[in-house]
Amino acid sequence: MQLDHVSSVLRPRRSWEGIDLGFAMARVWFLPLWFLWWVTALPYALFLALISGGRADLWLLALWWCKPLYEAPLLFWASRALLGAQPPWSATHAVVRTAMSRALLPLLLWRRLSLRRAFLMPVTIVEGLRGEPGRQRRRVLSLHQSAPRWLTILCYHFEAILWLGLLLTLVFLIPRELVRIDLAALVLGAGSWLDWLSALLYLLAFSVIAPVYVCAGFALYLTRRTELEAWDLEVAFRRAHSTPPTSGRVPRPGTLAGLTLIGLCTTLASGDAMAVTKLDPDQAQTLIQEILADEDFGSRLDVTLWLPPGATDADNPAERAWSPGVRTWMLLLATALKWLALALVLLILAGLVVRLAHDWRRRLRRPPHPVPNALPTWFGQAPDPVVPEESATRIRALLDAEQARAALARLYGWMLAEVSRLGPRLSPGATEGDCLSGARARLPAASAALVTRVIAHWRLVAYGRREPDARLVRQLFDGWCQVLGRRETTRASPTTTPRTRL
Amino acid sequence: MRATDAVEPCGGRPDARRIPPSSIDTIRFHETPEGIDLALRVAGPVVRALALVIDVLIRLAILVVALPLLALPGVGAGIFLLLLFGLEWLYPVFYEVRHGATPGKRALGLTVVHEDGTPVGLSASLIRNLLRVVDFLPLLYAVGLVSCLVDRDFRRLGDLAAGTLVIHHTPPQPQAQGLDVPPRRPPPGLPSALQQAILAFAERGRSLSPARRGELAEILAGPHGLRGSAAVAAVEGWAAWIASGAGDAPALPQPNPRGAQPPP
Repeated sequence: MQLDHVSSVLRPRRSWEGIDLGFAMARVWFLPLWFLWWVTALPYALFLALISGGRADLWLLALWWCKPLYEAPLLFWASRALLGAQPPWSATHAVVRTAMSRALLPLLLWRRLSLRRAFLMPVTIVEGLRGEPGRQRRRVLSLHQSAPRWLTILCYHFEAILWLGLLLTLVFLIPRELVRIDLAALVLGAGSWLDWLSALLYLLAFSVIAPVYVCAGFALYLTRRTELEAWDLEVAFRRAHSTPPTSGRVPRPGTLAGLTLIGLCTTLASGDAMAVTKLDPDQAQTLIQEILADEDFGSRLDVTLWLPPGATDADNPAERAWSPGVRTWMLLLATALKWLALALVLLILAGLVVRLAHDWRRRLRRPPHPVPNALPTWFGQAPDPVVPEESATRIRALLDAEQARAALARLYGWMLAEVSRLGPRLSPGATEGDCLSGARARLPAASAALVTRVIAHWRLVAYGRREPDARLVRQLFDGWCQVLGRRETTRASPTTTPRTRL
Repeated sequence: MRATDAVEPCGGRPDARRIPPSSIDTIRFHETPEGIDLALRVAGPVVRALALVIDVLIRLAILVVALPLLALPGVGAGIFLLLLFGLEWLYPVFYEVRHGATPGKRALGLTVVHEDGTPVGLSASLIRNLLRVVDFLPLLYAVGLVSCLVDRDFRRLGDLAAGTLVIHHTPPQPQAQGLDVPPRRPPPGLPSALQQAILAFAERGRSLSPARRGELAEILAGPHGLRGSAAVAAVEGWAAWIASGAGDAPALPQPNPRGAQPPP
């Protein structure tokens, strides 16, 4: 193994870190590894689909069992890539053939269910060991190692999580109206095309996790062998050996001169090399000062900051323009103004608070709804509470007194009260049109016609300023009394609670 | 100081120039203003998933212990629900801010830190734990898993939002024991990376097989005509020399040829 060309950093790691290194490797090499996995797995998948007899679960199980077959080329590829010789796309066939030529049968039979599969596969695939040496190597490698088992268990879970995540995303994203997918059938398998969808998604999860799993196992193997055989030290020793001693850094002329001086001193006084480093403290101090004066040790920092005025800059032109006395007065004035403004703001705030509190209290005290049974107002004047008998006598009195307008108004009010009594209360802002539509909806046809006429006359009075004809009003009043009287007689219970409210 | 504990004790990157640019590693370097590269060894999905499982088990155990509370119809159920809420949302935050990691993470040697290696703060911890809701989607942290697989530093969405990392934390290594071999002067001009490797050889050599030790030592001492145990003894002697602090780099800097002034 040409360890000098290893493209990952070899160092002693904990086994968990080894797994992480594998994940990093898989991320860097994901595309080629994924491609390689599909190239190997797709023929098997098609073949197995033919002989599985249309059973998606059997197909998936067979594919799962044959996993070492598609993982071997990945491992071989990764081992070559690790040594800095990534096989090109064109060499895919050679990679697959070489990997398949290893002893894969034990991996497919009695070692298939081993939980350390990814960790121990490099012994077979990369090293090509078989028989007794292979067994020994595996035994030594897996001494006191628990991480490989956890890696396999967790990768199975990662596959399941990816599969379920894909399924759920798919189900969530497809509109219900388009196609109905039963989630339970999808997960548990109900023998329909959904089984195949689910199995294909699982295959996708296999393909994503396989490079990660193989690389993590391989990295664990590397970590274990680095621990056992100190590969990192070998790499460091070989690299140092192959490069000239001082090529690691570029020395400055001074350093070089120092090196030669030290070299001379040590060769001359090889018995006590430590003596050369002893130095007089004063001399050392000056030396240190000189070295620290070098710009390599310094740094320049630009700082922008706000300073209070008058703190440092005495030569500020704005300050020179004022004589000291005026400045003091101005400062006093400004301070006074500042406090005045502050007090003003506080006063305004206090006023606002008082006002708000007042409003709130009023709002709290007010009942939640306006007063029930508020009747429409006419020209800002609320009608008297209407009691039918009283209304009738008053209208009669008004008519006798030749006050046709007042009589009409009272008649209108009575009608409105009647309309309000029969249904939802008319709002205080209801127009004549609203009253009319309300009356038509609630009163019988004869009364509604009467109301229509009254409102028409009322409109003439209210908006046209036309004095109504007393005879007409009397006629309307009689008609209303007649309609009302007839209705009263047909009603089952003449006294109803709303009437008392009116 | 947890920040320094969480960081590699050596903290440096002595052989940064020697690593090929394409090399793969799980270390994330953070350069401090002093020009020191802090090496943070980020932790991947497998170990984090295991830590999560441990935490879930701990929380479940607490809930099972608190289950009798449900027997009290009013107050008991209320307290149980509060406990459920606290365990779900505040348990990780409490432990991360207080100890740097939840018990599960600590059991596996993990720590949560800011991206610059400082201990995680309250706001970052809150953000990364609240965003677990997103990482959990559509179930069992599928989004978080994909994010971990894709991201260079194995960060889930919550880590990306909060600017945090989950790193491997190892307690500071004990000071290397003095070597009980007579110091021998190494060949001149050893680069510092090689010096570190020689020291590591002396420290870790006992865990290697004798044959392997000889093989490794011969790489260095072979050109000097030493073989087998003699080579091992030579390299260990060099290690003792380096460990004694003598080094072979110039301890006496030469006056600056440019004649810079001493600092004012």
